[in-house]
Amino acid sequence: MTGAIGQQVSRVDGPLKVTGTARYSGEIALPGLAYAQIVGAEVASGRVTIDTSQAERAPGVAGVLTHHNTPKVNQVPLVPSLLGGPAPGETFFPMQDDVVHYAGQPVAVVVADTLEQAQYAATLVGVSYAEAPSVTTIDQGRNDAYEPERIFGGLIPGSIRRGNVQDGLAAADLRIDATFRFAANHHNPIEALTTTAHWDGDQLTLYDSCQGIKAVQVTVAALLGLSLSKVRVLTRYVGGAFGCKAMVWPHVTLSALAAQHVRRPVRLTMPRGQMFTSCGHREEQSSISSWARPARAS
Amino acid sequence: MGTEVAAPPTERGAAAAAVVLTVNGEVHEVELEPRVSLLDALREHLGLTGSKKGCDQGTCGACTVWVDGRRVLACLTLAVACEARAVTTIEGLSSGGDLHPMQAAFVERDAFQCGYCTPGQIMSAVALLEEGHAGDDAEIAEWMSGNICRCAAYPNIRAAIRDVRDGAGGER
Amino acid sequence: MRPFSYARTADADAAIAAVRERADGAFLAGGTTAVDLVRQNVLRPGLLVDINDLPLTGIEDLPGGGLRIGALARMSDVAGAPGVRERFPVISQALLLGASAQLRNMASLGGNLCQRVRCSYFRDTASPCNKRDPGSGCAALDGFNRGHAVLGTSDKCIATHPSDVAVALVALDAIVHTRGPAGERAIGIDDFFLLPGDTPEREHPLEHGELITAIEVPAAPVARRSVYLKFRDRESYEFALASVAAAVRIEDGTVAEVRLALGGVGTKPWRARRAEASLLGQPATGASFAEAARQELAIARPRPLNVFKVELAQRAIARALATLTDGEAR
Repeated sequence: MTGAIGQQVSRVDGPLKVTGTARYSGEIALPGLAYAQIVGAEVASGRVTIDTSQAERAPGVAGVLTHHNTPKVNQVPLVPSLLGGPAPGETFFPMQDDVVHYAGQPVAVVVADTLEQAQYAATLVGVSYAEAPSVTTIDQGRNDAYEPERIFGGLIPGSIRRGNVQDGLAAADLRIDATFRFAANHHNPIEALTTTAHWDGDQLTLYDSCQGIKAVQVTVAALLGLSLSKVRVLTRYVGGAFGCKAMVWPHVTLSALAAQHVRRPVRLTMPRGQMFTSCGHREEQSSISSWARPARAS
Repeated sequence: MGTEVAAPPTERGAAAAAVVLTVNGEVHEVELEPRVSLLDALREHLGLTGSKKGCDQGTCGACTVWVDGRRVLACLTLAVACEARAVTTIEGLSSGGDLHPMQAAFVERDAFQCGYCTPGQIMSAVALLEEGHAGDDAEIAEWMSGNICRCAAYPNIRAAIRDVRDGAGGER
Repeated sequence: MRPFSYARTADADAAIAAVRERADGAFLAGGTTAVDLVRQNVLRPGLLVDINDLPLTGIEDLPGGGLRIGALARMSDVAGAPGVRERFPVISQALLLGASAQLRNMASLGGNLCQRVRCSYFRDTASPCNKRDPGSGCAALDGFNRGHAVLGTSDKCIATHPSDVAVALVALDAIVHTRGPAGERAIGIDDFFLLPGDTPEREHPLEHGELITAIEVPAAPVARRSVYLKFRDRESYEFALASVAAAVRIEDGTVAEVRLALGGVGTKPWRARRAEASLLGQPATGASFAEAARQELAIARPRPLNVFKVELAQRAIARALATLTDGEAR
């Protein structure tokens, strides 16, 4: 075994990937598999009224979840998964009430026999909005900005200070001030989020494209109030993640709830457009920096 | 690359009906609606999950397959429109247990990380060499621009293509 | 996507009749526009008639030097045809700078002319769009309009026409041949593309069921020296911010003949007639090129995010002409 260190060794998954025989999480065939599609909110803030009658009547539709019939999940604290606890991507879980907090927020999940039937029926879900004002850019939110005491689940101070910046700037004989603006970035791995959920009695199995099967297990168990022994997560290959599959986003648990609702295995694969609103992103940033060159002693 | 293909019917309604697809030389009959893409027919109905869905709108190339010997995008192709045409996927590239030289070269050159774009890259790369547009790295990059790799394995992908182009057969 | 019926035929008249018969019938060629937009719920055909078996794929060199290109000839085949590369390099270049290799293998020339706009509001059924839903408004006017048009716009629609090869064909006065319920006709390519005006939903003067059969390019010796330049955010596989098709003949240092058309900046492929008129008889110098470009873009009406296109298009014209006259300009 030590002979391999320092040598050029071909990856063991190489032949599987180049022949297309590696099975990724959205490629696990299960008997009776149904397909789910999320319907995302088309406004950034407000309340929804949903009419699912047309969608429910569409061919092949096995069920539609909305805030009217989605079970309540537990409140789970937001702590980085490195501590071994649940790792939800956000404190908020959708479809628990009629409030919209962001554009793209899941407001319904349609489940059908085929992918095409689910996609089409999703367009038939009647969603009307009582729209409310929204804040979606730095400039819009600037007036309400505040400096937090702590961030990142309370692990890190909100601000870090060292030395005396004001005095240093005042004593400079050369000073540079610059503001750097960064656009929002989205991870967009080439494999979109995908979860396949399968219940066998009260035993849940998830095939999920994720960056941590333990995080998924712990989070879903916490949200659904299950013991860990009741949740099994399998992830053989991941088609890229770059961070967006590290936290556990609502679609994972929604897949489990959908499977419970229709009593069949359910696969939910996120369409590319929904990837921009479903798995976090690097927000728009503005970095205000100053550099000072101390005056030399004469 | 062509083999015997089945003759097509000419008309059908919107409901699922028998569609005869010749994929990698094998004839399959599947019940499909006209709206089913070739990509979804392969992945969901034929169990051929080697071709990948990255965008479903023709922008990433992960679904690259050959139809009648030309590299095309399976996500923007209707399955029913492939009747009487020969479809080749990544699963049809290797014969028996041996890897195609391009597949071997991709392994040798570590031309992938997550592997999700890889089948599409390989199908595109083999076609590229047959089209004759792999003169230098700039030309390779230009003619492979329809295949995105989010893990940025591009330099190694180009190296693998050069290897096969130059007959190195994947050896370093 | 919504369900639709499918028919396939190798007979043009049968295809025409089948589409004509239903208000929601449509032709299916390469599918690169149709399948995409049906999936987005932007196009809603009830019947797709697959015309890929029609014998319209020929690329013919006409006596006299022109071209007759079958409507179903694939972009990749047209780009590589010897007659096209030799006598009309601008067409070949425009094709090869468009789309990706896979898309070029799928897309037909006729379908390329009929492709729909890339405006993200057109493609998003949640957004108001006069082109997709007449009367609903135009979200692009005060939205993200960086990629939108500065020429040929109206207060109903500012979407850019995205085709590259159409720009080359417009510069060359191509003719679109069609066959329809009323028989055959020939449409000058500039007339084939309509300005949005008050009816942005109407992009071509085609009757329902009228099928493009061929694109004819008249002989044009000037086209032997022609070029297509494309300026965009990415080096490849990206639509134009501005592009130009140009052909020019210089005699004694002055412009004797010139063809110019712009892409990426107009609601239709934009024949730059003002620039052409300005150039004729002028010395082939950078100053003449710049003045001609200035005159062409003088009527531009940019939106807040695409003001840069006015300058970019002018520089593109000047660059293309300089490229073609390098060595001959004084």
